[in-house]
Amino acid sequence: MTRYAGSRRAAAELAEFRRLVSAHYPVRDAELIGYAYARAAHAHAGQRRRSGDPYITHPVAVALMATQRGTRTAMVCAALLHDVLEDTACTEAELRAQFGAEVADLVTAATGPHEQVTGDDALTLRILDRLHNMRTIRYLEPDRQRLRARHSIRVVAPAARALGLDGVGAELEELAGTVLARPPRPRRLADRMLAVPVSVLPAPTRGRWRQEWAGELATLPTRRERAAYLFQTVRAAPTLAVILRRR
Amino acid sequence: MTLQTQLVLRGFLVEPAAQRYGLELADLVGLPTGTVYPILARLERAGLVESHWEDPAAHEAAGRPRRRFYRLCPDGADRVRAELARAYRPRRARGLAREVTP
Repeated sequence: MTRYAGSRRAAAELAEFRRLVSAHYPVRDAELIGYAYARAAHAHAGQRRRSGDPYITHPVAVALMATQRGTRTAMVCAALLHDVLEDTACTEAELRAQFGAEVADLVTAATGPHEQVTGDDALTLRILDRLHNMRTIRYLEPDRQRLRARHSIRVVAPAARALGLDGVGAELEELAGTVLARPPRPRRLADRMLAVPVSVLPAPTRGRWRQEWAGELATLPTRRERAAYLFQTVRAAPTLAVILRRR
Repeated sequence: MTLQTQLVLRGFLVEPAAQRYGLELADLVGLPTGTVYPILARLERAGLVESHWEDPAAHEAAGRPRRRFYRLCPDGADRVRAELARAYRPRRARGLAREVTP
């Protein structure tokens, strides 16, 4: 295995992973795992996590969780390689040739949207993948943190429990709960300013127009465009109010 | 029917089955959104246009608030064409009437 650059936690995870592999897997299997690590590190070279760590720290963390569960060698290799099809130039044929059909099939099955993953082993990989992403979620933008957290509670944690991974399910729920307990990001100024045109409209229609305008406001990239849009809603509101009051 | 309303209706006729959000439609027909929203509200009340919220999966995936989409009612395209034709006729008829009056 190669030299390592990353945060202290990631370095500790790699050290623990190496220790477990050499202690609990036969030499031939440990060699294959070492090769999977090298292949993944090479494929992800130059890519980084949002934390700033080299990307390979993520598959290593997932593979560590797999070895801690004592999963078989193919699962550990697939954990190391789980993102190479999606994020790198590495192909399925290459995986098949270098690591065999079982690893290639696992990685392929674990690629794509969570809802489309089939097979308990591939699903386990995706669940461990999500667990590490949830452990490092603080590096994501707040809005995406909430989305990921909601999906973890609704879909991933129940899937983990269904596979008997109760500890993983519980940790996912706890991490997601922490994210969702935080108050949502304060709204942008323009969004709060929508209260002005909305206040002119008949009360029962306010919610709809506020949401409609907020939705469009959110697509405007510059402050100038948002200001112009806001001005237009102020212009529209009195006429709109008259139309909406008509029976 | 005002000229702006006719423009908005023509915007819908570009692709009669398409659903569009207000800002998109305003860009399409070249009117400010401040003009388009009241027109949309009026057309919706008149039963020519219907509106609905975006599917949650679409906007949650994009990480933004939901949009309100507008589209012509099922029989809307034909009625809109008829309305637009009617909007033209009286004006031409009035013009002719003035010419023939001694």
